Amino acid sequence: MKKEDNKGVCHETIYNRVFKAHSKNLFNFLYYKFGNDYNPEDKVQEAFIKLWENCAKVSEEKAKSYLFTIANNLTLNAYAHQKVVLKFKKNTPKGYTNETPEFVLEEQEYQQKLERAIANLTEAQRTAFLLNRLEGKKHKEIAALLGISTKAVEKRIYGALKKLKVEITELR
Amino acid sequence: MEKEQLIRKWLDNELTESELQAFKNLEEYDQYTRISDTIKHLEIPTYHVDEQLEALHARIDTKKSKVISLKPFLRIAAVLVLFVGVYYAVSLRSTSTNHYTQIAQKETITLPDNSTVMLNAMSSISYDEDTWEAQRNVSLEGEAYFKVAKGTTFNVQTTNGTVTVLGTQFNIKNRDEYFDVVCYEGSVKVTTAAQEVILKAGDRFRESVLITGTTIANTPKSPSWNHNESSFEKTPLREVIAELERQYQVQVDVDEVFAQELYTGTFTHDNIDIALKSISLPFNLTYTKEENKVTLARD
Repeated sequence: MKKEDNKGVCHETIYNRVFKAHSKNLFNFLYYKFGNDYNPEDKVQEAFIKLWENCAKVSEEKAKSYLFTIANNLTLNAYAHQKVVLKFKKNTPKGYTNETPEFVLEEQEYQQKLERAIANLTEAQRTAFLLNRLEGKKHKEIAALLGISTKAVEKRIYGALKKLKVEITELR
Repeated sequence: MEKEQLIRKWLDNELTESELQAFKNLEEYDQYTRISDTIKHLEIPTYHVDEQLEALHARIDTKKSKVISLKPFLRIAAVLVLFVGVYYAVSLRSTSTNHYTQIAQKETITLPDNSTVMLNAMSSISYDEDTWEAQRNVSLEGEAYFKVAKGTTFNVQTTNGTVTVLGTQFNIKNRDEYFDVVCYEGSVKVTTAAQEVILKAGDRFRESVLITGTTIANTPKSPSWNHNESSFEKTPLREVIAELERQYQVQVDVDEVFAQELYTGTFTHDNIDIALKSISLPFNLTYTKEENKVTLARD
């Protein structure tokens, strides 16, 4: 694959660099926002194919927001605004053994409540919150990734945490 | 410092030593840390960047090859080639008839000469309608019960051997390394790479890793799977389990030690729990079932 080189991302080295820099973040973003039902892996691929087709028009700096917009729109076309399903691992790693059945049961119930509560967050809240808690990304990084201000990120994450706490307490 | 401020700073990993102490003293400390700790166990698929990049290049390359522009005379040639190709594809496809079944599915097919074939689960047959009059040839993958109408030679071709008949009823099971033919009426000739055997009514021929030879069939009328059961006689457990996986949407795990042992018995196609008991009890095994996964093990 080779196309005429200019300011865009048509050169294979640049294109591969863009892929390595953004594909994983894009995948995780789609996964947090829409869950697994909308094939995030494939949406990432389709977005990158679009980028290749328009490689002369998109600069390396603009590539990230271009990809996020395309992949987001592609998924939204299929998205039915259902409850997002994010599951916890069946066997969470144990730091200690010999748990009583009551403890195991309580832990499972807690996870289920949390699953439901996460599904009830807004897409924006869930995405920012999981990027922060699950991946340990700083507010600043998330802001850059989503193209919003740090203040907005902070608000979403804090809002999400408060909402989760309330929902879990109510479900008790 | 304000409570909200503390929590926000904690979320951004920005707390100083003393602030962390203050945060730990908060009434909500336990709840927040539990939410945060539990979320770390969320199951998210790993994204393999290099694999995905390779797949992406493959997709782009195939896309590109579709849009190569052609010179005018090449276009005409391409159209001609296309017509010829389509003609052959259509003429070839229309003469070959295929039937196949999925897991837990059975199907009865009537052939052009009114012979009937009952296909067991996960099996397929194909035959050529145009040359049927001259040659009754059927290829089989899997297991089927044939009731053949009188007429010219009737051949069933399988990967393990060919079965030739004049007019009769017989069952063929051809699964990977297990080949099993039972004759219910008349006589059939079985030809494998190693030998040629003539079976009379009630005879059974088997060829597998563990057993080879002709024996007397234990079901004299028609194969048990026609009555929604699978029967086995001194059959390796591995093959019994493979059959179970064809009749139920499950994946069965069993230790290789037991997979070699021989099983004689029957399991039903209507109730998986009863079927699993029929298989596991004789071996003194217990089964555990989780969604589509079954594990057979000795306690």
